Amino acid sequence: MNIELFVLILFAGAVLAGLLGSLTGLGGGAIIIPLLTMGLGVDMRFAVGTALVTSIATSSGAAAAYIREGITNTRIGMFLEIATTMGAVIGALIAVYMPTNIIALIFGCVLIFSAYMSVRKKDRNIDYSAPGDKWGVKMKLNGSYPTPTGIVQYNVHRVAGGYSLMTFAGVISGLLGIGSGALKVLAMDIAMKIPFKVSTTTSNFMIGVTAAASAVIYLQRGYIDPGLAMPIVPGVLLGAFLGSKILPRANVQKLRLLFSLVIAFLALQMIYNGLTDKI
Amino acid sequence: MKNPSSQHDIDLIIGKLLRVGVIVSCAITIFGGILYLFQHQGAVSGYGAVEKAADFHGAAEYLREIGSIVPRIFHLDGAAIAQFGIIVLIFTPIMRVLFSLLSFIVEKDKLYIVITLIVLLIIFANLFFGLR
Repeated sequence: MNIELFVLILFAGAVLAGLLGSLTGLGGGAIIIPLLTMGLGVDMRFAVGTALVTSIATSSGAAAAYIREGITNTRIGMFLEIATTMGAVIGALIAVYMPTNIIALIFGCVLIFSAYMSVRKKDRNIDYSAPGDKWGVKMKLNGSYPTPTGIVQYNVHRVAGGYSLMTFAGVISGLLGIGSGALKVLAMDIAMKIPFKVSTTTSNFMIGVTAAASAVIYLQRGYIDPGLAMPIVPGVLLGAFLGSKILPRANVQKLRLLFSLVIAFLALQMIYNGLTDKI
Repeated sequence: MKNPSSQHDIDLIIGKLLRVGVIVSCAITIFGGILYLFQHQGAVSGYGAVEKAADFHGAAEYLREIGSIVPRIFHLDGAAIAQFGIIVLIFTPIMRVLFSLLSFIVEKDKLYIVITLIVLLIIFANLFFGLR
């Protein structure tokens, strides 16, 4: 393929990935990796390296906007970053020795799980102010955040469980180069019972740091190539920016369902390719 | 939080820092990318899937370390400039952690000074003792 066309396809794909990723909260990597590997025949290792840089770009861009609203809990973020950065380093080290078809298989499974988490019904009747874990007090994780109806206090639960799940989320993001937001939601919303707005913004705030921890290993291994990253990083950022402009007017519910179906389809294809050694 | 106003100020600085980091890195990457397109013409090659890890060549050797990237920037090597933009991007969240450390020092929160230092240690351990 001619280089100009290749760059153009990457850029267009990245804009779409950023747009859908920001509208649905699934992140850009979910589209970028299948586009590169199954669409353009690029090696899985390059795809993972490129997705990793992409997740730093989108996370930092979005975190810049969120942090001013005072919803992000920096302490929860920092505490759990010990788990995610450790996990990310382990993941990046395993990735070097793991056959690419196994990585494709794991990626497929994580994608299906993410798609499910994105459309699942959320439990809206949780009393966030119920007394929590003693570790929440010890580690100063409990907090409050502003809502239209006043300040809401919350206490965190099951800190140890959340921490272990976060280590796993870190391993997955180091292994696959994606933000693994769905796993973070599992740890923060379901295990630790952190209010949805706080967990989303805090998890987003952590994705960049987690990715940076494994990015260095990927850079040294040659997984990050400027020829691929150069059109994709600006493309995803442009897409995410456009997404944030459309978001208030979009029918997120329907879009999310549609996108989740697309993702699940890509995931099955990825699993099939992994099983038949085509990747 | 003993001093909410200074916490909020630092949050605003961190927000600005993240935005500037992303914009600057993006600008560098686009500039490098345009040069890259002029310097590389013809067919795309070298990205194809390989089965064994040993057969994977990866990015050019000089694009893997900051020490060998920087000298090539002055030769207006598009790939090196684009890669430098990516490195600025990788450093953006690390800078954010450094700023958080500063905010915990201002608040005299010993527990979180230690936690932030552990996070930095994990990141920098990779950086300096590169696992090659």
